[in-house]
Amino acid sequence: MRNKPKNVILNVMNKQLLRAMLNKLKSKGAEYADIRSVKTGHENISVFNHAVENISFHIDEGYGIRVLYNGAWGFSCGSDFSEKEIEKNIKLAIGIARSSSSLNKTKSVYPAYPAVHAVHSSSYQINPFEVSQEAKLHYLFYTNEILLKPPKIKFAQSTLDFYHTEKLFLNSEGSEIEQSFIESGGYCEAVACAGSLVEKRSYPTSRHSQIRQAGYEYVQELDFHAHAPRVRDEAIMLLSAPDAPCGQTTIILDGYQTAMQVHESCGHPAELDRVLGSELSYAGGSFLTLEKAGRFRYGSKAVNITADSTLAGGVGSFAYDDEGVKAQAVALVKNGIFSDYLTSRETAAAIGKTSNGTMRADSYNHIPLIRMTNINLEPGKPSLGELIADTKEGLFLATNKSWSIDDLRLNFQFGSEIAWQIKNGKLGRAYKNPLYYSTTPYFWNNCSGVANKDSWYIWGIPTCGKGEPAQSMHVGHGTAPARFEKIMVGVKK
Amino acid sequence: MITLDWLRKKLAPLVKTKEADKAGIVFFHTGLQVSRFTNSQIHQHMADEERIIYFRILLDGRIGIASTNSIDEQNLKEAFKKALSIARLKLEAKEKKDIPSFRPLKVSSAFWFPQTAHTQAPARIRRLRRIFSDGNSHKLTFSGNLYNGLTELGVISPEGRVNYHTHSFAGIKLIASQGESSGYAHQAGYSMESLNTKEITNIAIEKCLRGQGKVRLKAARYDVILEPAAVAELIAWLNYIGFGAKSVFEETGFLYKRSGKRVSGEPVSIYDYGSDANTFVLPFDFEGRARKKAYLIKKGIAGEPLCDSNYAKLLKLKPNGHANFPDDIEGPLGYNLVMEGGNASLDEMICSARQAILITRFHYINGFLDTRRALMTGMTRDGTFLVEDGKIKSAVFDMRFTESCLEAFRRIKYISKERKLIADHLETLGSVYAPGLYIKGFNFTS
Repeated sequence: MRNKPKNVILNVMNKQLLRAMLNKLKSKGAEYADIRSVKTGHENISVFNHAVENISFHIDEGYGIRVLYNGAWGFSCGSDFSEKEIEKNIKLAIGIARSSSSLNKTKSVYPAYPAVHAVHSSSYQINPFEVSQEAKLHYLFYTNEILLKPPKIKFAQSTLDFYHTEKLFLNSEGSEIEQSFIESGGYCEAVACAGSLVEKRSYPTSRHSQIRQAGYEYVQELDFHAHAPRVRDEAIMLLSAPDAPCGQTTIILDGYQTAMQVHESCGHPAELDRVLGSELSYAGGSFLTLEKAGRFRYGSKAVNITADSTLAGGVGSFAYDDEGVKAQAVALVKNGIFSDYLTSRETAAAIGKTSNGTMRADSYNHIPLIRMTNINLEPGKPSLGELIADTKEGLFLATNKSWSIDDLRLNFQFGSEIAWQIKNGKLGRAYKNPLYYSTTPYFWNNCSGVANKDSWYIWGIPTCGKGEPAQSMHVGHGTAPARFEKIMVGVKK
Repeated sequence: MITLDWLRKKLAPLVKTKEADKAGIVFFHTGLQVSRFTNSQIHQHMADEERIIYFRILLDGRIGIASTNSIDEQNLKEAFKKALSIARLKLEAKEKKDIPSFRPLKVSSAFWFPQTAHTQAPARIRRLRRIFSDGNSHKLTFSGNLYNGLTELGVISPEGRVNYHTHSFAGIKLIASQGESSGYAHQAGYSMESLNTKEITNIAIEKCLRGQGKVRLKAARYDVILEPAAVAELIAWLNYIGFGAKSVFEETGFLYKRSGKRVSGEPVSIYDYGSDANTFVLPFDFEGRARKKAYLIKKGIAGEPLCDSNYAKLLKLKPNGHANFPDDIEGPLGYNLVMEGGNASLDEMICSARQAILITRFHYINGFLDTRRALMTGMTRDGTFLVEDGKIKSAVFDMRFTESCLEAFRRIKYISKERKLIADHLETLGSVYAPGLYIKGFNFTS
């Protein structure tokens, strides 16, 4: 494994300048301040049918200033590193905080945290920015060629995404943390059409790239070319498949759909800022209210969910969060009992705890928020084959298609691209348009098994939305397929 | 803030390059200040900048795109070079692309209020102090945001012509909370002065106070009275899954092969028009062309989809000025959506109802269930009430609907005369000017 890009696409950031900014903030009376200087490079390559749909490269660069002044927060940002602009933004951040403090009746409590000096780089083998765009395009063109072979496949799309982020964090407590991340991934999809029917199959994820903290070797591992024949054949098969049945049944979710389920019904409600009301005006609150910590039966004993920002390869991994708190692995649900929240320094202090390090901002110009790291459903004992063999009747649902959950993260409905009938322990016919719906505690309490580590996989979602203005975060989920009993399916009509 | 003058002096010369067949530039900037609050306390308070400069380079039918947020001369040159290197990739372009030209448009300065664009925190605090005080007197708390800022869009054609537009904006979103009850109200406009924070506060308070003692209704079909915020969310999803030409080209959208055919009830007319002053005006698209008035549905009949130059060519249609950001692969979208109003008022709709559910807004709609039918699911939120015999009888626990939006639009009984600009996501891209609707037999599924 190589740890540092040979051909760094971004320049080294100016630590001296940030130190001077912090000194100014302290001299102006800031009780606490931090500055993040962030540069991100993003390459997107997308091929639609036999044509290039997009090849683009974007660089985003700047600094964000967060300041606590008289017990209230202010934030400003800039991409112009001139002294005049920096001075203006320092004044702006302090002015904003001062205004907040004139209105707020309660002062923010921000506990001290030991100063840290650290340098961290995510691991990879092949720097994706050193792989030629011709080679990437060739990979995608050939994927589409396979997908488009049968005439019934009218459309094929394949996409690759690569990110390089460099982050320098300094705070008034003396922390100086330099982190660098390389992320790579992609997805492909085939659309089959016949008359009024349109059916799509995707691999490995739908509507967004599956990403990892890794280099181009991960794109090779995804191996679109090997999976494309199955993807296109299943899309064609769906054209003649019946609609998924309605009623109550046992369902087994594939790893990706399980990841989406964990994301919406465990990850988000466990964010302590939501619980305390920070997102009431946008994404909503949480049913996991404070009295539930340590005692609420969230799921069956098979349900063990961990927030792990140390997981190698997960896009929610780092060495330190955007408050300078060390990465850690924390049990959110242990043997079915809800045990802990995702916290920040301020929210953890509000419940008498210390931060478990989940504050991240998606770019220099946004404030850090509590974000999912890698929220993992720990593997169980049976193999996926044994889980299916042990199911008398039900559905196996694969690849997320739609998702919706209420503002307390209780009432949800998901759809997937395909489902297979399970009868007497064997997979049978395919169905199109499967849907299932339930409420979170009922659903997880009816979890009757999680497949073992052989089918446990780290999913990477680059589009987790939160905050106003909206932030789009990269979050990870390690999951295996999981089984749920007595679940309502098929509400389409 | 970047000005037209800066675009002309600093960026426009870059397109006159001999290294490419053509070059074009797109510039987009939003400056935003937000006071975000919960429990009647400001918890997030920020000044935010979003800026992006795209370089599009055309070489032998191939387009390379690179972008940067930096206005530093060196960084701009590097982005230009990167776009050039992408365009130089040795590929056989099966479909030759182009960077279209455009005529410079006369844009109005009527949407620019400098004081609003640059309103600072103390002015927002003064308004919030009054709002929180009103909440205190009703023993409830507020969450939400009060914001202001500016949007700039500039497009430079290969000939060096520049289209530039700027407007200011301000908005307020309030969620009044008391126990299990919550009430939503929102207003947005071009100036801070246009915000009637007192009225918005009263609406949120009234909804919250009415929301006590919720009853649970079983999942079934009910008549619904949708307030403009709820209607706007349905229209936003129709836009996302079916108004754009890409969904027609890919055969996934509900407009596919339905142009000229009935897709919803006769009272329904929805168009997108970049210069409609009831929305946040964006007079030209990201190719610099005028965003023409394009009816997506007119009196229930499907119109042509929203097109940029590329999809217009592919679908053999005329472009109507709806190009999206240069690197966006979702295709053309409407950013200025308007649903035409009717004759009723919301009060008349309530009075006319024997039994209906009054819905303030929806939450987390997802429209990917069956895009040909515009089948969607979502939850009600922050003010859902049972109306019986012409009166609001009680609050209702939130419910999930699963419904084809177009089929529901065939069952519209009334459309309100009053319409409202809905843009409650702190951005001015994607605003909707929507009426209230009375729809019969809306399908609630859990």
